[in-house]
Amino acid sequence: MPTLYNGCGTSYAGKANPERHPGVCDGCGHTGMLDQYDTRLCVTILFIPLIPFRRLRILDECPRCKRHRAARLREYEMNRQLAVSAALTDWREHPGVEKAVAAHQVMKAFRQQGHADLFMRELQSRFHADARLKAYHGTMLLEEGRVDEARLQLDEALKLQPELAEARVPMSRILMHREDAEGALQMLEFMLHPGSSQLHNLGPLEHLARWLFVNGRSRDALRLFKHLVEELPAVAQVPAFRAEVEKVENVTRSGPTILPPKRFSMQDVLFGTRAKQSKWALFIAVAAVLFVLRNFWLAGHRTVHVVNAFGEPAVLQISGGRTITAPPGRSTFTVAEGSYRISVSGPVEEVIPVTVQTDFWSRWSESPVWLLNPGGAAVLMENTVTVSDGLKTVPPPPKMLVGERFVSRSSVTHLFRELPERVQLKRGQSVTYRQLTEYEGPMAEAVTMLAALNPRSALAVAHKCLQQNPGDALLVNAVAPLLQDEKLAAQHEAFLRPYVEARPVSVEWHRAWQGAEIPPARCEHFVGVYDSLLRDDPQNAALLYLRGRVAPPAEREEWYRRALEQEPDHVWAHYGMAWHHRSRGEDENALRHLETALKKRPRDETMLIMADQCRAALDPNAAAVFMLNDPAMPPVRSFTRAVLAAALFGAKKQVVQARLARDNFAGNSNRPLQVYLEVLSLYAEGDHRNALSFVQGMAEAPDQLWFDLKLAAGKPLDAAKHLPPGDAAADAALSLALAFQMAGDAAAAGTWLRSGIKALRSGDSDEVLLAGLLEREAAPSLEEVQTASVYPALKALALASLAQRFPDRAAEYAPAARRLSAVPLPPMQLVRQAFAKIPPP
Amino acid sequence: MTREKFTALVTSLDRRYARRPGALKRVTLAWTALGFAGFLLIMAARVAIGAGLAVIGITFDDHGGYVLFLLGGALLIAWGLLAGIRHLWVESAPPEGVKLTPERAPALFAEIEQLRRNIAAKKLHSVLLTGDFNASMYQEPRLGWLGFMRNHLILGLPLLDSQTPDEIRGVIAHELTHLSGEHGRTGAWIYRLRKSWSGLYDQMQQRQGAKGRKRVLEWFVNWFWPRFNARAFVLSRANEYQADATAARCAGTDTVARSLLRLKLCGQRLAGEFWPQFWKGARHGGTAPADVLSQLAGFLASPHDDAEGRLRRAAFRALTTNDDTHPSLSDRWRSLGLTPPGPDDPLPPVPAPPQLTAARAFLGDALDTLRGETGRTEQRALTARWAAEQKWAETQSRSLAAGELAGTGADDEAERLWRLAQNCFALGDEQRAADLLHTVLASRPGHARSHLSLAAHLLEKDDPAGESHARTVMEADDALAWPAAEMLHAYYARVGDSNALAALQRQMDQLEKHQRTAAAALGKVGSRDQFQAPALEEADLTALSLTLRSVPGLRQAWLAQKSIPGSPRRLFVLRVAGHGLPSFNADMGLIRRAAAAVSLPGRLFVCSGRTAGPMLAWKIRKAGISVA
Repeated sequence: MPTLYNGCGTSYAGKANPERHPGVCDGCGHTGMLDQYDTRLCVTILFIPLIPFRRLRILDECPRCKRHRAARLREYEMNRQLAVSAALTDWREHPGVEKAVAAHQVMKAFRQQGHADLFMRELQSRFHADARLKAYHGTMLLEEGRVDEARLQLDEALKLQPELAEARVPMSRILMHREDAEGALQMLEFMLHPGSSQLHNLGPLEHLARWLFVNGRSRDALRLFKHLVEELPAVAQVPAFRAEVEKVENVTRSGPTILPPKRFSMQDVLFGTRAKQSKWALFIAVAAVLFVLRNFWLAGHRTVHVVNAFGEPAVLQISGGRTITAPPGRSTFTVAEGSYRISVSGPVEEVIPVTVQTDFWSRWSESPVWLLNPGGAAVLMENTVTVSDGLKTVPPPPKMLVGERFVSRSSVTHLFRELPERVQLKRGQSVTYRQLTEYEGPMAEAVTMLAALNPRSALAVAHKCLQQNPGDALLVNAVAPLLQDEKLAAQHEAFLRPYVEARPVSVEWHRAWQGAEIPPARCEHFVGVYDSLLRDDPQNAALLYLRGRVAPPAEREEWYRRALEQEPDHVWAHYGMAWHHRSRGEDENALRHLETALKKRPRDETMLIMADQCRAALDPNAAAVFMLNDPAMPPVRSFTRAVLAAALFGAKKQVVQARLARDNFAGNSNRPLQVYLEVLSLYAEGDHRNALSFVQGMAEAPDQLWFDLKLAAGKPLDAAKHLPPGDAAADAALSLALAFQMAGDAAAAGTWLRSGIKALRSGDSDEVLLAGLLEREAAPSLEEVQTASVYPALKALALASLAQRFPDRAAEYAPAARRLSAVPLPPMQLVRQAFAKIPPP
Repeated sequence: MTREKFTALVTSLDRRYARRPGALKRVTLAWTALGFAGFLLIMAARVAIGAGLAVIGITFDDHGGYVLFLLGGALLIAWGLLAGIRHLWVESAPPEGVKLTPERAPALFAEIEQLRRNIAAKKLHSVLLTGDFNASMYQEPRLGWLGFMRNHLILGLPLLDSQTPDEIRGVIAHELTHLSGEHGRTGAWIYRLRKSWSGLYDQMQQRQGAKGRKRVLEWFVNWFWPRFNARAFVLSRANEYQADATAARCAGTDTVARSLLRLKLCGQRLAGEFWPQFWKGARHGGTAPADVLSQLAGFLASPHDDAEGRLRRAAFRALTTNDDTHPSLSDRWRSLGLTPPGPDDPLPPVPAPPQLTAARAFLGDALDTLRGETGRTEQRALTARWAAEQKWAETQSRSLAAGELAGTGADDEAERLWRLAQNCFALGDEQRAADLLHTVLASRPGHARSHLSLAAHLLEKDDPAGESHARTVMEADDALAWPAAEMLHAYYARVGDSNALAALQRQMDQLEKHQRTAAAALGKVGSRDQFQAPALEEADLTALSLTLRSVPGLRQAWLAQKSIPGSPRRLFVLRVAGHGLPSFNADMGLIRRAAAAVSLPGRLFVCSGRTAGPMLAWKIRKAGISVA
């Protein structure tokens, strides 16, 4: 049958030499004229038959359901002609009724209705007194659904030969059709004689029995069934026959059953009436055997994954004598289920007890994983994600497995594989993925990520990783935020003690340990630690520098100086001094120390930026020229330096150079970043209106930019809307306080000032000191403010704020504040406006 | 394999293993193993592919994906296993008959038990009494070709009625030998296998006929079956000789020889006298007699009238053929160490009817009861056959009357007379039938069916005059040649003409080959075929031309005949060309009209240049003649 899908596929094209003949459709049972014709099968695209590829003769096409047969036209035509002519030749050679009937049957088989009818007319005139021919003709007519014509022929046949079985059987069908039960029974009476099964096919009798039962003549039906059982004992073993007889017996409620006991027959089971069930049973049995075999095979061939994080092969000796070499990276080996002791040698010497076991049923359904991690060197990450209706639910935190030598999980869907980005699910369906993978990123990131979810676990992971790699300063640094909890801090100190005492002193490690912002309470702790260390090694420049980091602000310069005395080119001591000077606005001194430090660490970005800022504060033009000529500029590609460059050139109206610097950093394709730099240039020029219009044109302008520009434009209320929720940072709060103060909103200014002070109090010792000064009733001296070693912008804001409160000291504060905010970046404009609005005393 | 080759193979095997039955058994077993191996190898292809899928499924690492492989593997394995079992399945049904018990027939069971011990035969599961003139051992396999047998000894009551107790002792000993340790298990197993392979071979032959192509399994079965069959056949025949020897040891050589002769003579008498008379009763109406077994016993107890020795000569003259594992009477006598009488030698006396029959001696007082029970079990089949015979006779009488009424004015007088002859044969009027057939042949000497009927009538009576009629049929009509050849074959085997039999077998091989080739050639027309001018008389050609002129749309036509060497059948090819624009569909319409109109004495294929292709069209035009 040709098939089209969306107008494409195959179809018939054309209809030639059509003929019709009566018949019954095999598909729907429709009785009527069926069609036949020649056509062509074509490949069809968009309902247009394009490529013809086979000529066909369509046979028996039902006008109602269109079911048909198709034969290749040439072959069919040849077979038809040869078969019909052979049958006719045979008949001409032996012109009896048998051969004539055979020839007519061939014509009918090839649907030669016209030819067959003509031939039958010829036969009827020739053998007009032959009952068998009339019986045959009647039967053919009956099969074509021409019941009345069939009856005429059969009547004539029975008149000629009343006992003719070939006429009685079709006549019984006609009588059944006319619901003449008696007549039908009478017609098939000859089949009820003993031994009739050896002379006749008793199929019509069974048909009549079923028909009688359906038409309420159960006793007659039972009589016929009884005869069938007697004549054909084998039929009584056919389940369908037995069921039919049992139904009849139930209705008639006759005495004992006519059915013999059911007999088992292997032949019947395999090839007889029960063959279909047997085939299924055999298929199911074989499938069951195969599934069980798979189960046993799985039990004997379990894959153990090995993650060897060492750079050299590990030799694994499995109890029982097998030795395997696990190369660096991932590998596998196979063992039968059971318990083993695996001796690892090579990069690490240890014995790992391993149990590889699952229960019988779960072997088919689960995907267990056994993972061997020699030395526990690899960090593993276990993730369980449940997805419902296409959306990932909030996943529980990934579990980091650090230092575990052997991991056994009953079901893992994604082993060393990424979880899918998208999942197609049906409504209401949910799916759970279990991922087990090797963590390959920096451990610091992992710990930071984990710390947000589970600090205790993060600390445990960090400790395990530090055992593997104690010098990982980033990791040490990542732990610092966890140490607000005293218990955790104590635990951490106890763990790190051996590493703190390690020599040579790694300043990076110690800086990371101390943290970027050291709260006063921790400072006291660190003072004790470093004093203790310095007692043993008083001339260690690194320790002196580190001791200076935790010293009170006033003493800090002294410690750095002592460190430089011990080691004049100590990078970190110079850096400490530079920071100290920079926070006081002494940019010249700061730059000197930084240049010394940068000789040893020329690519240290922090130091480079600080040096740029110092230069910018001292001489923006020179700074700009220096940055343009700085060979480190393009490769560093630091956003901060690019921002600074943009601001510097903008401030000095050197737009062309600004663009040059901007493009040098951002490239021509990064449009949002270009706009961002353009805005900063305008800010530096003080062109707030244009800057704001640029920001409005940005697709996703950062809140910080909005905040700074709104403040500079004198709109603190609008600026406040762009603060992130929660407690504001100290510099933001102080900026707002200043802006509200300038706008005349004293109440708001007070509120934001208190908020800023609060933020400062939660910071390091310098910020705490600054908070104290801002809270004082009396105006602090400039020197007191300069003692706090905070970053210049914050100190400038603090000075501006103090100048607002104490206008009489504004003149004292103003130069320092101007120096501290010399870099043309926020809050430069705010600070300048604040001092400009203070009336002269 | 041709009959001639098969016969040569059987003869050579017979000669090679004449004194080495053990070697013959081993060789047959080796061939059996080869058959199994080959068969399983071919059948195992599906199983092997299934097993391959199963192995992939079993060892598949990806969880879940293995299921499809396992199910696919299971499907193929189950399919392969079922196909294998079906091909090698041995259909078996428990034999029917009246079951004898030691209580009812103590003498018979005592005799059987004694013989069984002497021969060291296996245990019998049942002894059944039937209405056949025969005795046999039936092994019913309970697990197909794997065996696990139930052994049934089947004794025909007419046989017991015809033999003396000593002779029956020999018969039972013969049958029990088939169960003995010497060739019991192996022989029966090979016998069953032979039956399975035979069924498979027939199945393959039918399939080949239907599809016209051989597959690997068919090729293997075609090659293996005749070779295995030859060995199994020789082994079975050797077993028969061995069984005869055992019977002679138990009952005495003379007794066994007499028993064999009596069996043969009684068989001939029953087939030639009793049963024809019995069924003649059916034609005269009435109901089937209820005492056929008593009638049989009475007939067998009557003295044999063979004063001229016709029956005995025929019995000794028959040849051993490859159609039956049982050797001829002469060969069986020879194997017993006796010399069968030659054509001119004095004949052994006709065995006198037994004073005390084996039935009476072994069944004693229970004989009459058992005869009644056995008769009742036979009665259903007998009644049906009786009814069929009656109906047949009625039909024939009606047909005879109708044929006679039709008179000489019928369209085909020869056909009418032939039918009348058939009716006369059916009603037992053989002389009139023969006269009618001679009348037909006088008017139409080539009427094959009359020759065949006459051949059957004459050869049945071992009349050599039938030979020429059969040979005429073989030459004239390929459709009837085969039954004629089979009649001749049976005749030559009966009369012991081994040379003629061998020559006939060669002819039958040729005939089979020719018929196969002709059937294939008659079934299609293609451009590779050779054609010739049609062998038609001028009148036929003129009639054809006139007919073609009446076919609408026909412009031109050429007629050729396909060359089919060795076949009297003709296949005409008519190429037609129509008016108007060339069109395939128009050509098809014209072809159908022409095919319906034209009638030629043979097969006909009508085509056009467009439907037949250029090469075939050119060949027809070149070899044929223009008829329109």
